[in-house]
This record gives sequence, structure tokens and C-alpha cells, in this order.
Amino acid sequence: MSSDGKVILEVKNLKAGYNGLPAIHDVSFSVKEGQILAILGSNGAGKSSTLRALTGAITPMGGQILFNGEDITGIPSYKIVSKGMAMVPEGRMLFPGMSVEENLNMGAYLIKDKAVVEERLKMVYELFPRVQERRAQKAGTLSGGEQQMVAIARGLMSNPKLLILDEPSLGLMPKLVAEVFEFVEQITKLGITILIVEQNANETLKMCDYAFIMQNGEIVMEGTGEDLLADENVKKAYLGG
Amino acid sequence: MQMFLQALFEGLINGSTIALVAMGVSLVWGVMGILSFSQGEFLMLAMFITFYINAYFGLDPLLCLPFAMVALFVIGFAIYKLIIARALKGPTLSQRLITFALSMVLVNTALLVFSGDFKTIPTETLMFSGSIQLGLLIVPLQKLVPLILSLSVALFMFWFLNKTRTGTAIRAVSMNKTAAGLVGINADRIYSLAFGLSAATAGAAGCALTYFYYVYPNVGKNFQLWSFIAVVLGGFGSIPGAFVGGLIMGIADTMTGVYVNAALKYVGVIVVFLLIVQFKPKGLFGGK
Repeated sequence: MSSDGKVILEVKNLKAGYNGLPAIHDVSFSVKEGQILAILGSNGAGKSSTLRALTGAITPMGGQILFNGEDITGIPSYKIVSKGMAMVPEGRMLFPGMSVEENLNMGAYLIKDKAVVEERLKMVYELFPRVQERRAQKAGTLSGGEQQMVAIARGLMSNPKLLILDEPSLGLMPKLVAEVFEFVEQITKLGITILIVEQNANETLKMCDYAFIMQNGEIVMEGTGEDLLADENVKKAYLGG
Repeated sequence: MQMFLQALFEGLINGSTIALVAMGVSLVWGVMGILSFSQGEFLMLAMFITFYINAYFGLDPLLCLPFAMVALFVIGFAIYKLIIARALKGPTLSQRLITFALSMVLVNTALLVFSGDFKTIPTETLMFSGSIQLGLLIVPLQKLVPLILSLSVALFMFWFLNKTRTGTAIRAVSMNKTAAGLVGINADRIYSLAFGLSAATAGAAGCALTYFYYVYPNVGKNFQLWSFIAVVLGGFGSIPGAFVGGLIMGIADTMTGVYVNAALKYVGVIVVFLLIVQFKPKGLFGGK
């Protein structure tokens, strides 16, 4: 779609892992402004490690990460949000003892101007009316689908340029998965670029502009969503025949 | 009835000190997973600071509170930066033992510097002395005022943690460190603040305690032990739980002393503890 857009995130030859053992080798990809870019793969393929290296949860062993042209390789994770990236982590990771609204306000932790926070809150509530209904409820008492929406909404509160979603469909029933993905598509209409990591290849490929498929810590295939959906190998390995 | 109320009041005084120490233990545990065995020593340090300010400037101990709290905050902050932050990078066992070692160092340094003598603040320098009659109760002001002060500090802590931006960040870190980092909270900064804050809370307790209690290097030991029981009683990591747990311990202590036998005070406390933990194994406020 917007294939002529500006590159917002560029990952070059990224290598990262745990205790000196690399889990991903030589991963390179770039995300263009306004795109939905997906990284797919099964458990242990290196998707999450890629994200963890991106967001500073693990220090890269090699390679480079450029965000908006700025080198952000190895910055601590609390600094990424100030750069204009927001991450919606796997397993939602809400603050369970806080209300939904407190959780959302935490998403705007770095915004000191209260009026701006109010404005963001209004915008997020417009986007997710269901979240607004639950605003006073403790986040820990919500259902999985609702928690996922609150987690995405919290990610949007910092007004990011790039929203990273780590396995948003995990543990949700199919109907909710479709709903969550619909929201993701809506978010791009706000001019926010999306990087989504998923195991649910079928649904993700239908929605994304471009996708990478990872295996054993490497990118083994890439292409537009439609192309990959039609690919025989992808069908066999990820789409269940 | 009068005896009951009198015992309740004495219990609250005793309990308010335990409660403040316990709140600090709970805060540090919840935020950074460190068991703070040195909380009692922070109380002791504040007592000595208060004692010497009083000795040199004749200032009422309660007026020393801001100084004691700020001093203890700074001490706690420095201890975090110099010692705890390093221990956090090490194995779990050293994280568990580091504050224990710190407590021994602090007690023995105090013995060396201040000697082991029991010191008291001369009653003439106290602003509040004598007693007042509150209904059936005869209340010594020397105990009532510190009690009010301790409870105010506890209330301030609740307000700070629930209503301020930094307080909310502290709660966020204790609920989910990863998520807190992802919204832009610098965990290391929050750890140092929380450690300083917990030391300052123990400092407030120590300061109030000098009004009617001896000052000596080992004074923190009992309060430390009781505060741990209070934290377990209230639910590990829950600050309101630690507060309520502390008050219950103090009341159980005094009630057993009054109605059973002073020699069995500690038994009374432990029985109450065992009973509560029987029915609420995770403590009164320990939901998780």
C-alpha cells in the first residue's frame, strides 16, 4: 500500500540472545510509515527475542537498530517510549491492582501536561468505547479480550509513531481475535505504524501490508500479506494445509 | 471498660511504631523483592539523630521529625545506590542476606560510636507532658502526640503512593516491572526512591518513639522482628496490610499483658498471628 513511505524503523543484522548464546542471527528488516508489518513464526522462532532486543529488554550482541534515523541500539527499555515507540507486551501486562483509567494514565506517564493526557484519554475512549465502560474497574478483573484492548489503549496513550504488538491474539477466542485485529486496522488510520508479532498467521496475513516469517532465529521468507497467503510452503507450515 | 480502652490505646501506640516499620519492609519487598532486615536499624539511627539534635539544640523530638526523615531518606537512598543496587545484580541469596549484614554493621557501629548505654530525652525539653482526660480514658500526652504523628505519617504515605505521580509509578513497578519500564518508568530510580522512603518512614517511627522510649543501639531488633510478623499478617507486599498488621500486633501485645499475664505477651501476639494465618494463609490483604 504505502510502499513509498518513509522508513521509520530499520533493523540491520541484529543478533541477540541470552547468556551469551544468540537466539536470533542476522535479522534485518525495515518498517515504513503507515504500514502494518508482521513478523510471523512458531514458538521459539525468535520473534519475541527480536522484539526484546528492539525494546531494550535484552542487549543486542551485534547489529544496529535505527528509529527515525536515530541509532537506538541497546537503549534501556524505559527510554523507548520517549522516542515515540510503544510496546504492547505479550500477556497484556496490565497493572492488575489499578483501575482501567489508572492503567491508561500510566501509559501517558511521560506526558506531564494534564490537558494533553485528558485529550489522549478522550481519543482512546472514542476508539474503544468498551474500555470507557470499564474505566473504574480494576484491570485484574477484566476478561482476556478486554485486557488486550486496555493494553493496546495504554500503548496509544503515549501518542506513539510506532506501536509494537507482541502476540495480541494469544489466549483469546477466535471471535475476540477478529475484534482485536479490527482495532489494529483502525489504529493505522490514525497515522500510527504497526509492528505486529504473531503466531496466528492466517488472520495476520489478511490484515498486514508486509510480513516476515522467522524460523530458528532467522528470517526465512518475506512478502506482502496476499503473496504469503497464496504461497504453498506457507500454507503447509503455518496455515494448516 | 475503662481498662479495655486504656489497653487499646497503649496497644495502638505500640502498634503504630511496628506499623510504620512494617510499611517500609512491605514497600521495599513489593517494589524490589528485597527483604529489609535493616529497617529496625533505620529506626534506631533516627532515634539517635533525634536524641542528639535534642541534646545539642534542645529541640523537641517531634520538631526533629522533618530532619530525621530527610536524613534517613538520604541514608536509605545512599545505601540503595552503594549496596542494594549491586546486590540486586547478584544471586538471590546475597539479595536476601545483604540487609541482614547491613543491620549488623549498623548496630555495631552504633555501639562503637554511641556506646551501649540507654539514653532518654529529658522530660523538661518535651513540649507535651502531663495527661488529659478523654471520656473514660486518662491519656498521657507524651504518648498521644507521638501516636497522632505516627498515624499522620502513615496517612501521608498512603496519600503519596496513591495520589502522586511518583507514588503511582512506585505502585506500578511493584505490580509489573516490565510494563512499568515500557511506559517509561526508570525502575532503578523508583527503587532508590522506595528504599529512601522506607528508611524515612522507619525514621519517623524512631523519632516519635524517642518521646517515651529508651534510645540504644539494639532498640530496632524487637520492632524489626515484630514488623516482619506484621507484614506476613497483613499480606506480603501490601502496604495497608502491613499497617493494619502492625496495629493488630501492638494491640494483641498489650491486651495479653493486661488481661492474661505480662509474661505471656509475646505468646499472645504469636497466637493471634497463628490464628489469622490459619484462616488467611496469605495474610489479611494478600489477595494475589
